[in-house]
Parts: sequence; C-alpha cells; structure tokens
Amino acid sequence: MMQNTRLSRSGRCAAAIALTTGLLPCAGALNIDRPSFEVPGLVIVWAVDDADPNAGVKVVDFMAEAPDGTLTDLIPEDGRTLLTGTLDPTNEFAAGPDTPIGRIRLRDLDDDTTTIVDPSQGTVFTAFDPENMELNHYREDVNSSTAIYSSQFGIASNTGFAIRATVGEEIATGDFNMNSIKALVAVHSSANINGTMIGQHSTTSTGHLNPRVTWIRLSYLGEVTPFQIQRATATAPGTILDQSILFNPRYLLTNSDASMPFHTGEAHARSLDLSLGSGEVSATVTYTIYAL
Amino acid sequence: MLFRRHLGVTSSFIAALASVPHAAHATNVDRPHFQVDPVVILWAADDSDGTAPVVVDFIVEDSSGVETDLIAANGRTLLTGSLTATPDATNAVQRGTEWQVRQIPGNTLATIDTKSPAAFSAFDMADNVYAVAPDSHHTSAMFAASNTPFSIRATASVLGTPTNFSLADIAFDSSVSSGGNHGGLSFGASTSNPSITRANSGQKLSEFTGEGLDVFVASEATAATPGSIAQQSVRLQVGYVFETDLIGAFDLADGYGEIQAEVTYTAYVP
Repeated sequence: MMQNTRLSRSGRCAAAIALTTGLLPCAGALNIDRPSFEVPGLVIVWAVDDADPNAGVKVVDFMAEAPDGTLTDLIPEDGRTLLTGTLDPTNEFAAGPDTPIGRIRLRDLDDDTTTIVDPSQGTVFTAFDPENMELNHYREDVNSSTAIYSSQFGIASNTGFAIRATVGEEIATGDFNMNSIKALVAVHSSANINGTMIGQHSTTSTGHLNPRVTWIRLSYLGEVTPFQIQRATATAPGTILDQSILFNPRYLLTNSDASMPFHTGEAHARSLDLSLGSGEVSATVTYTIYAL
Repeated sequence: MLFRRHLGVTSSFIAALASVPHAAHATNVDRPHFQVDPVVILWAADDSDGTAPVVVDFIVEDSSGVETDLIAANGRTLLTGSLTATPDATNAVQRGTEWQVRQIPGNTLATIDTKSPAAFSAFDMADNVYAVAPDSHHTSAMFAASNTPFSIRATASVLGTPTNFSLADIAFDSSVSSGGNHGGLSFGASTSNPSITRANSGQKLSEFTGEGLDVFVASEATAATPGSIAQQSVRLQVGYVFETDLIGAFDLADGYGEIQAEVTYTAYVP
C-alpha cells in the first residue's frame, strides 16, 4: 500500500515536469503576491495667483487624470500669466492698457533722428516737414515700434495634454476689435529667467505646438485650439521647474482686416502707424488645460 | 520457549566472539530504522479567502525524491508587519496614486490623494520644489519553517492589460529575518539565523518570467531547537519598487499608467 502511494506521487510529479520545462521544481506549493501600481496623469501649471499676483510665483493648477480621462484641477484659484522673461505678473485688466505703447516716435528718414512724443506728458515739439518723416508708436521698454504684449506660464506633466484658448472681448472702441489683435503661441523647453533655470529636464516633444499656428487674429484663436503637447514634459528626475516647459503667447496690435486671419512673420505689423486708426482694445484670453 | 530464546542468544554471542559455527539455527533480527523526510512548511494567508495566518504549504520529499505539497490550497502573502493578507487580484492596492509636493530641503507643501481628490490652495513655486509619488513600494511577507535546505523560486506575469508600464519597470527586493514579531505573532525563537542567499536587489520582474528565478536559497534548515512552527520559522520579505529617482520616489519623469503583476513563489527541496 505504501508502495502504491509512492508510485502515485511520483506520477503526479512526472506529469508536472512534463508540463513544464523540466527545470521547475515539482512541488505544487504556491504563494502568490500581486503588486499593483497606478500612476495618474498629472499636469502642473505655475504662474501667479490672479487674485494676489504680487505674492510670487505659485503652482496654480494641479490637475489629476481620473479613470475616465478627465483632468480635474485641485486648486480652485485662477492663475495669471507672467511677463515674458520675468517672474513678474502681467497686468490685470483693470490696470488699463500698457502705457508705453501710447508713446509716439517721429523718425526723420533723412538724417535718421527720432523724437519721442508722449501725449500723456503733453510733450511740445517743433513744426516739422512731413516729407520723409515716419510716425510710429513706440515702446521705450523694448525699444520697438511694434505693440507686442508677451506673456508666459510654466507647465510640468507626466502625460500629454491639450490647451484650449477662449477669447473674451473686454474693450473694443474706435477702429479696433478682436480682429485687431493677432496672437502667436510658442513653447520653449528651457529658459533662464533672471538666473532661475527652467526646463533642464523637459522636452516639448516635437518642439512646437500642434497645430502650428502663425500670427492669427484673436477672433479665430479659439477655433484653431486646442494646442496639443503629445507627451510628458518631464524627461528625467528633477524639480517641477526642471521638468517644466514654458507656454508663451504673444499678441500684437494690427489692422482689423478680418479677410486675412493668418499672417506669417511680424513684418506686416512692424509699423504701428496712422493707418491703424485709433481706439482701444482689450481682451481676456483664458487657457484651459485638459487631457488628450 | 524460554530456553530456546536463551540458547539462541547465547549461541549467537559465542559465535560472534569466537567465529565458530554453531549448530543452532534460531535467529532474531532487529532492524531499527527511522526515516524523517525533508519537510518545508510555508505559512502566510489563504489565497481563496484571505484568512491569515494559516499554513498554506506542507511540502514533503519522500525517499524517492518526489516532493508533494500536501495542502492543496494556494497561499497569498501577508502585508508587511501584519497578519493581514495582501489584496487579491480583484482588489489590488494601487500604489502611486498619492502624490506629494515637497520642498527639499524644507517641508511637504501638499499631499494629494488622486483617488479621493480634495481641493487645496495655490502654493509657492521655487527651484527646489518636487512633485513625487512616495508610495511606490509594495512589500509583503511569508514565513518558512524547515528541517532541510530549501529554495523558493519566483515567477512573474502580468495581470490584465497594463498601460504604459511593463514588468521591467518594477524592481524586486527581498530580506530575511530570523526572529522578531510580525503583527503580534513572535517568530524565529528556535532558529539559528540560517544561511539564506537572496536574489540580487534591483532585479526587474521581467527577469522572473518563464522559469523564474530562485529568490531565496536556504543552505540549511530553519529549525535549530525544538519549538512551535512559528518559533522555527524565518520571515521572507519581498518588495517591489517602481524605478526611483535621486530622491527616492516616483516622479513626473516616470510617466503615468498602470500595471498589476502576479508573482508566484514556489518552495522546493533542491
């Protein structure tokens, strides 16, 4: 009887060996462990708090992806963009238009001399010969006659995401409306802002947004978005700043010819001259981030 | 009858001494024979219902070298430091869903449970702020008592359909404890710190597929002195870690996704 039992066990083991490679142990003992890991998609946005813009740079959006793919922002506060090249906040709407743009540059093309006129200061100047005299608006801060407003905010993620722009008209008087502002949006994978290094461990994937847009009038901006970043910005371990990219929208004042929604380059708008007419225009552009 | 027995014993005694054949044919043969088969006992939790602690494997190697586990039920590992079973396949704990924003050096600025998200306030940004998922470790334990050297082989496979991650993203780690208290249950008082070789730390679960790898090789019995099974047991602890970065946690650069692995530990007498 004992002999039979031994034969029976031997038979089971042989079967087990036959089913396997012959190298596995033939004991049937099994202890099972089931390690499980899940990492949600996250998108982190930093800029300044719109309600308290002078409190410094803050993380203003912390979006986590739910199982259904939606991104939920766990920070209720709204953010506000930074002035490009700085960690300072952009002006809020109530502050009015950028005052430097209101200056006028008179440039004598004969002898290449210029006169800066600031209407707000009641500058008085002498009569001049209109021939070969060019008149531009002038921004002393950037030494440019182009009325460009440029801002940025940082994004760090472990997943691809999309950015939708929504345009709201705040002021449009005189000759200006939402067609009078053109936007160009770019992304940068690295920057040095006054010694603060951004993006040392980040990528913008293809190096640009998809779709690529050239200067586009604000009235069309919402139609061409969302912009898509196809992959995570973070490429290597590091801080949030290391893993961030910069989203950089720029806006310029131009004519309001809606028949040409797109332009390439900026040359067409370099001269902010009398032909643009007069008036005031202001918009709110809201960038909303969501999962691809 | 008594005489014959006496005669027989005497005759044998004389023959043995003098090597002189004797005419008596009576023999009484005694052959004391003992056999103790190699036994390996594993205890952890019952995989079918999570009951713990229970002996789930009782492996005997018979004289022909065949090993048999006399307990048909499969076992399941225990949560480290407790007598609670690890989650089963339908209720697996998912690590990596809690994130922290840390300032290093400094404090934790925010803790975010993405499974039960709650709103929090904007927080300061600086060049020493990190976003990490600190809970990227899964550890568990089982216990072994034996009167023989034994080995435990691990084989790994993927459960379900992973997203973005693979077994190559999970590193294996292990440790052995020959005495202590686990969830209120003392173990190891009757062991003598047996020599147990462990798998190399950091090996990826992708190396555990197919035939698997021996992750524990005990070159001697665990039991050194008389005692209960728990007293003669050693604790075999295993751990699984996502790829870690310089600050020892999972961060944005590791991406997002999901994976559930099944690792089966099979004990045998080599």
